[in-house]
Formats: sequence, C-alpha cells, structure tokens
Amino acid sequence: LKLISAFLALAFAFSSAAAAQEVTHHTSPDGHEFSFYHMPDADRLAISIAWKGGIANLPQGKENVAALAIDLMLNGGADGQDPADIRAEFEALDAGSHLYTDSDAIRGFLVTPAKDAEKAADIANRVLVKPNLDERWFKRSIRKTKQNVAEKEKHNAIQAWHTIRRLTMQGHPLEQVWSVQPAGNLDAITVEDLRKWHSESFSANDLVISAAGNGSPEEIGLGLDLTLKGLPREHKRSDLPPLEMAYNGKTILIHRPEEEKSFMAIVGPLPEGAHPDKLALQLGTGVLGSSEQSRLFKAVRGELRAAYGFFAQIHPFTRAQDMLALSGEVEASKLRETLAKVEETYNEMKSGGIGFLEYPFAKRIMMKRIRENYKKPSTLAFVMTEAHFEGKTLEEVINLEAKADDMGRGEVNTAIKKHFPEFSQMIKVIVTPDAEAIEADCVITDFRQADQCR
Amino acid sequence: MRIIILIVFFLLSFPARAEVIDLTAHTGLKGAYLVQQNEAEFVNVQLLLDVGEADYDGPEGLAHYLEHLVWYSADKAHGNLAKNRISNAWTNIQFTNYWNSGEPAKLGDMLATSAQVFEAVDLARDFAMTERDVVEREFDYRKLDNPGWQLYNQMNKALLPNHAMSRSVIGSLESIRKITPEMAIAFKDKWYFGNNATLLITGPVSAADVVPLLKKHLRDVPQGTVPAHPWKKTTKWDGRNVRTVLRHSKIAQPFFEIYIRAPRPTGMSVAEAARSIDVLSSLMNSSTPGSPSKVLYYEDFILSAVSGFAWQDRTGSIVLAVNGRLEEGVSMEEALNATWDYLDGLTTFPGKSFALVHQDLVQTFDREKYYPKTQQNVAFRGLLERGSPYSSKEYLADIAAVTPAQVDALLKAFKNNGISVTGIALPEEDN
Repeated sequence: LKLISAFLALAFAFSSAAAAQEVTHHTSPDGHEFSFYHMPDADRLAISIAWKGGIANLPQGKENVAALAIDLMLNGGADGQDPADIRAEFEALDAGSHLYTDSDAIRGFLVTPAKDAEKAADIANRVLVKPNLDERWFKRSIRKTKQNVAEKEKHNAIQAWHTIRRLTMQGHPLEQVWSVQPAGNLDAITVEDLRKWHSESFSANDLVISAAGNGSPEEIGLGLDLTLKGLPREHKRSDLPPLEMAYNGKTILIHRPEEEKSFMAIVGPLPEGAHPDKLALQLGTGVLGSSEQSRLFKAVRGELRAAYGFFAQIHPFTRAQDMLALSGEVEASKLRETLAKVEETYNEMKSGGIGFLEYPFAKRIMMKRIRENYKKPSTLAFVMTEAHFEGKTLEEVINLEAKADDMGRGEVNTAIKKHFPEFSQMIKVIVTPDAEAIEADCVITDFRQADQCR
Repeated sequence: MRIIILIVFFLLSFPARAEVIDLTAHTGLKGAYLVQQNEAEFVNVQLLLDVGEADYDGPEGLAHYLEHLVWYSADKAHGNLAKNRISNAWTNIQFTNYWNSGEPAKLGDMLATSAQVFEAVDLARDFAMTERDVVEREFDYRKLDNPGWQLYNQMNKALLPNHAMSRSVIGSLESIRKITPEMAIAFKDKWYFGNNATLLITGPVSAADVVPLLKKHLRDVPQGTVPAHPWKKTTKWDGRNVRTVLRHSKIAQPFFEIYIRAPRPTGMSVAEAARSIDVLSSLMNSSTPGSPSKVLYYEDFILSAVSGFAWQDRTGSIVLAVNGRLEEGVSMEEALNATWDYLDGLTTFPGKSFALVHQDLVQTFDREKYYPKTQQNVAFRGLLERGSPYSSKEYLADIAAVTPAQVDALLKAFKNNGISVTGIALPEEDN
C-alpha cells in the first residue's frame, strides 16, 4: 500500500507540475515580443501573429483586394519559385498555416513540429515578404472568385445571408468583403492594387505574437525572426470603422418561383464576444439547436416533421457584434407552422432556460470540447491573441475550463433570459418558391432588392 | 530503489498503444471488439451491419429510410427522458452503422440501444410515413442542389448499368415516395441479424467493465440466415469508356469528373491494396511532380481547379478519380483530352514525390496514433475493409510498408484492365 501511495503521490506531483504551467513573456533576438504557453506533451508548435490594424487602407469598392492578395500570396508562388514547388515543400513538412483578414488585424498562423520550425518559417518568410503576385495568377484568382460568387448566389441559403448582411450591416465595408457583392467591383481591381496593399500591410511592427506547444522560447524567437525578416518597419494598416448592426424585426420573403425547396433564417443580436456571459450563451445556443437532441431539432423535425434539421448558431461578425441565427431548410407547405413552432420553442428557451435534466449533459459536452480544444497548441495560440484584442488577461483565457466548470444552471439561464434577443426583434428571412407561403412584411425576388425591406 | 522499480513497472504496464480486444465470444454478434483508451473521456459504441443499399433491388433509398426508422425505434430503448448520450446512424452502399457516444456510466444504455436495433421497429405507421417526408427533406438538403453528387450518381449508373453498386443510397424524390414502412420492415427482417453485425467499443472502459454488459444486452440477439450480397455479381472488365452529361441549374461553371475502375491487382491483399491506395490517393491530391495538379493546374494552365483521389471497395475493385474545372479559354474537349493524356501517361510517380507523400502519411499517423479519435477511426476502417479492427500499430506498419512498386501495380491495373466513365456537368442554359 505504501508503494502504491508513493506512486500515486508521484503521479499527482507530475500532474500538478503540468497544471502549474503558465504563460511566459519573451523577446526574440530581433526584438519581437511574444507570449508563450509551454505544452511539453504537445507534438506541435503553434505561432499566431496578428498584424494590428485592419484593411481600412483600401479604397471604397476595392475591399476584396485583401482577400485576393492573400489568396495569391498563398497559392501563386514566392521569391520567383513555382507555386507548386512551394506548396509541395510545405506539404512535406507535416505543417499547417493560415492567413486571413479580421476587422481589426491581419491574422497569420503557423503550426509545425518544433523540429521543422525553421524550415516552415523560411517558407512563411518567402510567402510574406516576396510573393510573386504575377498577372497570370492574379487573373486566375479573379476568375475563380467571380465564378464562386456567381455559383453561390444561386442557392437559397446564400440569398438569405446576403439579404441579412445587407439589412443588418448598413453598408459597412465588411459586407463587400464577406458577400463579394456587387461582384462587378472585382473588375476594377488590378494586380497593382494587390502589390500596393501587400507592401503597405505586412510589416515587422505593431504585432501581437503568441506561441504555444512543445518548442523552447529560443526556438520560437529564432523562428519568428526568420518569418518576419525583411518586412518593412512601418505599415499603413488601420482599423475599419466600428460595425453597428441593425435588426428591424421584419419578416422578409424572397420569392424564387424556380426553386424546389425553401430556407428559413431568423437572426438577432447577442452581446460582444468578450462579454462575461459568452460561455453561458454558447451553452444555451447548443441546447437550443446543435444536435439531434436539441430543442429545435425535436420541435421542427421530431414533432412537426417539417425539416431534416434546424439549427442554432452564434456568428461572430466582429469582436463587438455577435449574431444568433436559427436556420434550416423547411418544407414549403409547412413554413407557417414552422415559424410559429420555432418562435414557441425559442421563447420557451429564453424564458425557461436549460432544464434540470438537460443541464448536466450539455455542460459535460461543452467541458469535453473545451478540454479537447485546449490540448491543441493552435487553440492556445489563438485564444492568447484574442485575449489581447478583447482586453482580457492571458490567465483568464488559459483557464477557461475552470470558468466553465464553475458555471451553474441558474447563472446560465439568467444570461439566456437577459441576452437572447426578443423574437419580435429578430429578422426572419424566408426563401421559397411559394409567394403566399407566409405572411411577410416585405416580398422581394433577390437579395439585391433587400434595401426595400429596411 | 524498490519504489523506483515498481514505478517503472507501473509505467511500462500501461499500454503504449490501445490494442484491440476480441470480445465476440460474449455476444451473439458476428464480431465484438474493444479498443480501451484510458485517455478518452467518452465511450463510443458502433454497431455496423453488413447490409446497405446495394442489397436491395426495389425503389432506391430503402436501406437509408429503414435506418431512420430503426434509429428512432432503438433510441427509445431506455425511456424517453434525457438520453445523456449522442447518437446517430448512417447508411452507405454496403453498410449501415448505428453509433452512440457518452460517458462510461452510460455504456449499458448504449448497448441496450444497440440491442434494440435487432428488435421489431416500434413506431406508429403515421410517424413512419412522415419520416419518409423527413428523408425527402434530407434529399433536398444534401442532394437536390448538389450537382457534384448528381453527376457521381449518374456516372455510376452509366459505368455499371443495373449493377447493385450503382444504386443511389439516398435515392431520388420519386423513388423515396414509392417506399413504404412495410417494405423497409421486410428488408430489415431479411438482413438485421446478430450474426450479420459487428460491434466496436472504444473509450475509457476495460473488458471487465464491458463483458457483463455485453452478456446482458447482446448475447441473445436474433440470429438468421444471411443472404448472399447482390453486389458480388461480377463486373465485366471489357475496357469500356462511357460518357454522360448532366445539366443543372446550380452550375455556373462547367466541370468534369473521370473515374477509372479496375480489379485489384492479383496477389495484392485487401490491406495491402487499401494502404497502397491511400498513398496513391495522396499522390493524386498533392502538388508534387507527377500529380494532376502539378501538370494540369500549375504548369499547363488547362484547369482552374483539379483534384485526384483513389479508393477501393469490397467488390474487389479499385477506383481512380480526377475532377476539374476549365481554365478560361479552354474548351471542355480540350480539358478532357489533356486530362486523358495525363492519365494515359501515368505509369509511375517520380521517386521524390513518392518519398515526400509517403513520409508525410507515415509521420502524420505516427504523430496522431495516440489520439483516441485516430485509434477509433483506424479500428473502424478495419471493420469496413476486412471485418475486424486494425490496431494503430498494425495500421502504421501497413502504411510504412507501402512501396513504389505497389503504387505502380495499381496504376498498371487501371491502365490494363480499367473501365472508365467521363461525366460532364454543364449549366442548364448552356445548350
């Protein structure tokens, strides 16, 4: 027994040591500051680089330049090297990368085995500093984007979402970024626009850098210096104006007589992503509509037999603007009943919250997901960077599991009651071949007419 | 010192890898296996029935409709209160799978649910009929506006006319509407036997936890005579090359797909072919020299998007596929000619390409082999491919053992014995 006790004590000592891991702060030889969360058991190293400031350096109508430039940087080759060779070189490393624009930053991620960090950083540096950005690949990228946009807008769900953005975003530049509408704006973009945006946007200053995984601070510092080497010292990035969203509560019917099926989306505002109640709202949204046991699934499919599935999701538009969306494809002849059923189910959730029997398992699922995600260096590097932008401490985001564990049903239900929007405030968009399927405040035939529904 | 020795003994006694434990003898099933994963949080229970859409010859979509009915019925196995488990089911051309996932304490409920799969469907006829409406909505949701799937379905029927393997798993709106609950129940009575099903449990439970529950719930499941699978009908390898065209309102840009189907090379086992196909598929989908992407997308600017992949099925066939979209100024015929020229010339991949892709596959699996999800997926692949789970160790060894000669043998089989179909997808208005 003594031996077993000794073994258990030792095992606990090991686990305590692991739990005591904390974020440390370092500076690379070239002076780049970064935060690091050491995960000795991880098999990867993740580095997140955020170039602070968004894409407000782009002229009106050319908001898609940033996405096109990034597409070309990643897929069009670099340093005179053939694009296929660069991709094959990177694929061979068992590494991953991501580069995209956010409303207040350009975000880059590199995830690699620590032993390959130098090679991965070298490739990343070529892509960041010397992308080929040549005319032929630019034209290919524009063509593909236009084809994708044309194909997508044929679908009911895309018609609905373009309409929702048009109504809620009030002409904010991000609408053009996400909807790529009007698609004709792409015709005005030149490869020179991409080169200019690239040269003005990527720099070696104004960065938020977070790393997590199994490397050492020294390895990360060297990898960072190699990644950022040769970038300009200054930039012209700036944040986009704050996005203010509007929800007029109207029911909008998009009449598409040639379609064979119908789609319904109901959207309303939620507090900003950094709100202390965010986790509670995520849990509530999950119980409302994320699985075959969810309230909406049981109501719309199980009872009404009107849909294959009906879902609830949170869409973070910007850091300050989250949207709750209830959506699904619905049998056209049951649209009216479905809308009433969704309203009833939603209002029950808003007023009554998560049930006594539902709560333990829902929380268990959420805790499991948090634990699984927090084993990944990429998640840690991401949330550490988010903490900077959301004004939170690193410890706060690292210890999310403990926060979630402390959350009780009463607290969650209070948050749901307080923050889930009133159903009457939410915009309802129904895309259907039947113009009489539902009583609507506004009937249009295409998202381009959405301004009529303000 | 003794403490240290004991600690070392303890550490060594923990399994380095989750291994497969055969528990078939405690059940009335064709197979029952446990992969113990102490680091996992949830237990997963999968009941795989050796029956799919290819085993029916009436209106298409029946096996899938039946799966919906059985899932609802089985889900009531332990009452209507909160289930505290996640569950779902799927059907494909050759299999039907019912799965549950939840805390270890719920293993008994999950096994009771699995046992209920073999019992009579306990649903009101009205509900069963409206569930058919739900399946129609599933068709709408997944397939109606999905020209890629519709082309795939059309190509299968063109290449293998009247063959069980060319049946559509979900069917069409017309075929679904012809199905009745009685037809589904009759099909169930023919195929749903314990001796036609395999159970896979993965998660933080031991054989000692599992065996009493297996005995309680799955020892006395119904047994029966399992019919011969219609998909075993021989394919005629006559070198045919057929073509089919789909026009669809949701297509804005034309695209094409090519499938070449061939018999598995003689002398290559199912597992050897499966892992060699994995490597070939990765080569076809890479940017390395010799890949369709390198030749047709990067170098020749013939296609604006291209992907290639390969797989094998239980009929003993291997399949090589390429799909692509046309670059501006390139006609469909030019694109098809260039792609066929590429495929005709594909007899081997450069050694460097093989080495890069093979090494990446081995490294990735070696890194991920301890993940519960990876172990679960690998074990399940074994059920699909050979009827019993692979252990991670075995799977890794099989991937590592793939040679360039085996990949070349697959390519040679496609070249010498292949039958093929070219599918062309065009916008509706493009006449």
